[in-house]
Amino acid sequence: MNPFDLHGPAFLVFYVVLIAAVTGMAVVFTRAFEAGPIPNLGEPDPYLIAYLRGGPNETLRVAVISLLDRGLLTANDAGIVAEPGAVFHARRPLERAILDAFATSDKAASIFGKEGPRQACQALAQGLQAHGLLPTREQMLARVIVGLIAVALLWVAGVAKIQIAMDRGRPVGFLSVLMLAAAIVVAVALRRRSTVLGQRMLEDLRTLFSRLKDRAPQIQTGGATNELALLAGIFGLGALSGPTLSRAQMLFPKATSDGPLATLGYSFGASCGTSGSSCGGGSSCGGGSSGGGSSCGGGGGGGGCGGCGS
Amino acid sequence: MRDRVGIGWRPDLAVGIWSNLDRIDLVEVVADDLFAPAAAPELRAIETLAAQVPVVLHGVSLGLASAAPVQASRVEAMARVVGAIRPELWSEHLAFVRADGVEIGHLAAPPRTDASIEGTARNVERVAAIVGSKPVLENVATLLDPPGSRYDEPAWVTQVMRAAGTSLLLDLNNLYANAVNFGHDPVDFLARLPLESVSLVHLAGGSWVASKSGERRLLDDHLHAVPDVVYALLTELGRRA
Repeated sequence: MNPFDLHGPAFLVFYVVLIAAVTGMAVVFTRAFEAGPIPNLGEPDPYLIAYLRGGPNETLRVAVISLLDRGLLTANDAGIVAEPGAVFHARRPLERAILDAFATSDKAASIFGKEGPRQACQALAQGLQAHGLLPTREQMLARVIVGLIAVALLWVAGVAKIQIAMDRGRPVGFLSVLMLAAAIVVAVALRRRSTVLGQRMLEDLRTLFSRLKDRAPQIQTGGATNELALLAGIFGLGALSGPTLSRAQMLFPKATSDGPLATLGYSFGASCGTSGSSCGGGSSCGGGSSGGGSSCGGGGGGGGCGGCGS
Repeated sequence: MRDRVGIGWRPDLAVGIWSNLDRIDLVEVVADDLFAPAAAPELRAIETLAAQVPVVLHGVSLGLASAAPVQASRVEAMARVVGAIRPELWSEHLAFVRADGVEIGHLAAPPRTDASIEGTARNVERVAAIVGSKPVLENVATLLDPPGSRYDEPAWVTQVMRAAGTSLLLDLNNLYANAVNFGHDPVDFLARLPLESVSLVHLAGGSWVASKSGERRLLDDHLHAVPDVVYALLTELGRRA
């Protein structure tokens, strides 16, 4: 049966199915183009993870809160300022850039417009691209080409049917609207901040560190560990608790978006872009130990996002 | 080849482990936590962990040291996890955990007999056929000297290793606990084990428990620091290696 002979609603249903099928194929194709082996991230950098999750502005928020927690930045009436000599305690280029940017007191939100920190963020983006976690220019171009092909296919089918309908004196309004909707659906489906590998990395990190989120209220502040930075980096500032969360909300009451479709504001406890995952986790011994004897596992040895970004 | 040092993966230790990967040679993950279909996210996450640091898998519920055949469903689950993670090696305990369909809920030391030696060897062959590799076998601690035994522990372990044709995961705290619980010299125990087949060592801590009659036993509970005497056994093992 020729689908172009279908009348009115029947063709619209067919067209909706066609939109879904073509969009699905476009997504599968681009995901295949962006797949690859799970990368070794090397040094565990909370800011790299924050960038993967939320983009540059989210990374800057996480870094500022981490530096405040470590006492390298302090808050005052005029905003925040770097402590004298703090730069010598910075662990990463981004931290040094932020401390330099706050050599004199300034509003926290001013960080989003400062050149040095943004350049440091750009280096993170390049690192993520090198790991295959953020799309490269070529991968973005591939997405655009695949998207254009998908929309072209849908529009060719739509235009052909409009031609037939107009020859038969039928209305074409609904189909025209669907054609516009098709372009939007394809664009939204292909518009992902990270690659499929990047999405997976984020989901896996959330699983591996789920216990960290569970015990957020007990996390030791003051920079003794990097738990706070990792918590905020992986789960967002909304995962913080107590005074640290209050300070984050006060300094960054409204997340600055990194792009036109960025989600504004905090969505506490939520994950951005990818489905969060809970962790059953927990090592337990199937053999268990009740009365004693051998337990298992052994020691070692030999044996809310602060805005979902762009 | 230099010795490598690792740590057991626990979600509560995630930050500490992830932040010190440059000082950790390998991470041991309890495979049974990844068996259930509902644990698919955890399995995927451990795949990602394995991309950061070498991972070895540790089983706790196959119950290989038994005259009864190992449960096929558990071996298939182990095969699935090993296939996904592709660890350097995987290990299991020289223990039985069920009999006649009854789950003991405990890693129990079997009677040290010819039947348990042969049964263990058969089970190792079964799992190797399905998983694709033989497990490294770990000596277990016990609060009871297994009744009906024909051999003492070093002799039994030596014969099991020979029959199963695999290597030994030597848990030094288990060795120490069994030695002191039943009046043996730990160093003598160590010397009589097939040390040439040791490929992995576990270090852990335990605590003393007492029965109502006042009899004391060292319980390998993995909840306490590794005692100095276990480190001394590690030194002795290194000296003999």
